[in-house]
Amino acid sequence: MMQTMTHPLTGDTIYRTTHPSGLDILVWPQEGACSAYAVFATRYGSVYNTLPTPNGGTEEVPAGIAHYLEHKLFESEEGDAFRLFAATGASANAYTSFERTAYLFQATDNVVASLDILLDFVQKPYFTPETVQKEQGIIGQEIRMCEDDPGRGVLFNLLQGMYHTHPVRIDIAGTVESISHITDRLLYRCYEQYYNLHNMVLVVAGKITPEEVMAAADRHLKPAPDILPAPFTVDEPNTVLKARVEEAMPVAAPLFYLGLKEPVVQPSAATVAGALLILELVAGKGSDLYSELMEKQLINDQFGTEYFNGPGYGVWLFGGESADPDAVEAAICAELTRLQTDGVDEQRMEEVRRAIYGRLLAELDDATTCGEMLLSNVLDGIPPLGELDAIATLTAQELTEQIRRRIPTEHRTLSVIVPQ
Amino acid sequence: MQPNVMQLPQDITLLHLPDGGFRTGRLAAVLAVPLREATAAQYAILPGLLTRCCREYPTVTAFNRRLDSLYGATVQADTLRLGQWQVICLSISYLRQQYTLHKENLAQQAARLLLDLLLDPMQENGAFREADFAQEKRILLERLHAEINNKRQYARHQCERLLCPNDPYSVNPCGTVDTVSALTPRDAVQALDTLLATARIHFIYQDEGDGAALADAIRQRFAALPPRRVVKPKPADAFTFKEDRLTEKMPLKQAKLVLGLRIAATEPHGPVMAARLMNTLLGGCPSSLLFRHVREEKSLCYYCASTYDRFHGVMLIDSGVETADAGRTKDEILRQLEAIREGIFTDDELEDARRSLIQRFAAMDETPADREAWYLSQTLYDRYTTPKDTVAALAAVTRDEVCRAARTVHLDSVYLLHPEDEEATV
Repeated sequence: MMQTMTHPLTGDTIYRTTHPSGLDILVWPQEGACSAYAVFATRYGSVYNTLPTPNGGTEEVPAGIAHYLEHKLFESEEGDAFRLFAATGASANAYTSFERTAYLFQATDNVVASLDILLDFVQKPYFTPETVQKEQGIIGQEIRMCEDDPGRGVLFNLLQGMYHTHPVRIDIAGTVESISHITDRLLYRCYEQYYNLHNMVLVVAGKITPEEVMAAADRHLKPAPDILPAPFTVDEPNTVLKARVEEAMPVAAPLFYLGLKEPVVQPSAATVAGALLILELVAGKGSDLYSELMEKQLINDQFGTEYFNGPGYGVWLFGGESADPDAVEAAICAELTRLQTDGVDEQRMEEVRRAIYGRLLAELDDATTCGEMLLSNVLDGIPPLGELDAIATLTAQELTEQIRRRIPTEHRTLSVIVPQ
Repeated sequence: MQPNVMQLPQDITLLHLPDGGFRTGRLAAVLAVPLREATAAQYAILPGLLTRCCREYPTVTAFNRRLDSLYGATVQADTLRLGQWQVICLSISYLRQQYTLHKENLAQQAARLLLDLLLDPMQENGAFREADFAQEKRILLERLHAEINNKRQYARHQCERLLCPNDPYSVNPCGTVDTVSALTPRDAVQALDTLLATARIHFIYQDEGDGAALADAIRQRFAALPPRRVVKPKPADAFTFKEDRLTEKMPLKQAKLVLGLRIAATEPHGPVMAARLMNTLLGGCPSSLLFRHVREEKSLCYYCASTYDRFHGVMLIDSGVETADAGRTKDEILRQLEAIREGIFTDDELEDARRSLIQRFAAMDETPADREAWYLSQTLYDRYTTPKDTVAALAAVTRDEVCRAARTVHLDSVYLLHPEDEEATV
């Protein structure tokens, strides 16, 4: 039985059900869309770096194994899934993040045939010592490419400075050395542990009907044992490991990320909406801080903000290019402290509310964004498009309270890549 | 459906795209001038200067708060290279009436704001304010310096410079560190005057209605300008092959190999569709010959991709590899190109490439920004085809035409950026 939710602000209807196989399925049909976006994801990313052992304990697996598994899942005994998608014309891809692995396609035509391929290949792991070995050259070059990317370097240096033990501090792709320990047997064990349909989600948005999705699910999904991996746990203090991290790379000017470490919070529509509103209030282009940093020539058009979270971590991020990252850090912290002390101005809150609401809605012209937004909602455990409703209702007082509770300015790290 | 093309006074064209039922409306001003090394920087500073504020909203904060009040309307400003042209594009995207909280119609306000940015900038005594100019000059210079941060992009630009040293193709539409450093506020004012007096000007509009109110607004605002006269670029000189090779060292972990090739297929009259399909078959999709042979079969790289500039008849093929594998990778790339010339590929491989390209064309109707990008490049020739028309033309390309297109491809330049402690030749 499908639940339907018609959103009062957008007028869109979203369908949701738990398939008899155990899979959580969401469908967002959009009239007039020229394509469909489908994403089949599991709650398994790079931070899940252990496997249970037969004696009830856990063993650590090589860094980068979730990402390696993502690469290898495209391969089957008959060939690779890209070849199958090529026959439907769909544009297929996959990604691994800290907390999820997702397989996806975008298609303007043959959507159901592409959905058949997606549901089929993700459920058919095929690993041999030879195919696992062959991938080491490809992923090794992907890792090398990332090692030369200062934007990635400044982020992972930051996370290594912020976190003491949490595996979010380890690069998602691992290292050339760590992936050399990955075997076909280990990949199978990870797959069995984390690719149970009860631990997975399917989201389809755009040119599709719920009936088409359910028929495809019925064709491909068999009931899975109702066993979920043990909840993620980590012993991580609230403090940061290092206040400052620096590395030299061939860059034109210093790149920086200032990260503020959020105490672990359970995501809700209010926290997701709160993050969007807070970052805009603090350092959006309409903020006094943005104008001040620009006038002092401390930032340029590369400056940006972000909030990201997952099991056991939450990071407030401010980053860009600056001749004096320490001065930017001081200015951001001063503004956060001011907001924590004085509270959020009601009039400015209304301007920002309107801006964030408009921008969020504007992004929904794209089926890919719609699909990814729904997927994040499910993984965060919040209702579909819950953040839109929360943006409309959060008060200035509630937002002030979030800034005080969620952004401890003393728990921060500044990561800088300086010119070599 | 074809766009409605309205010819307005002052040699201005308004393209009104049929309603796509989107949540957002969008308006772009597209201004094209000949791309030249000597003037690129003057025009390149304008998008930043024009979109930081305007006379009515004279500070960055006032202007951005105005955008906030328009439900977070976004203004984008770009400088592009399209063929022999330098294109300055300012666009505004805004929420459509039915999606605003109080059913406000933002179309008129957004159009007025975009026209204000272009025609009523914040100036004092006939010049941009010194502080505004200094900020945008700094930002543009920092962007140019930062090219080195992205090694793949840097390597591609180096190969372009090697391939066409005296052609607009190698001119950076953002200028160079030297030409931007030499800019004065007076240069920017003169560049804006010249832009408005001589550029090809198109507006691309996407919202409900027939566009008549916008056409009136544009007509009125441009009536105040002196009569315009569009200046076109000189025809490009014939290309001479140089077969250059260049290696460069940097503190890196991975080498970047870029092959620069010429192909005898350019807009507006060349066999462009066959060339696009040939490029996709070679290295433009995950089922391409380069992906399958260089990456999957030989495990030489993570990416090996081919791109085709149909305005210049240039292909760039690039890959991130171990320095020691650069020669092998180059040989394998050329072997796959030769295979297409000789027709050594299966019908399935060709049809897979065709479907991939069809999907890409069809997806250009996905969002207002995609549709704007689709028609923007077509403003150069004022010939408008819909993604659907293009799909039909692609369906008619034969296997022989693909092979013929490949036979007109010639390797010219090879560039390799590699780690300092390794020796390399290409």
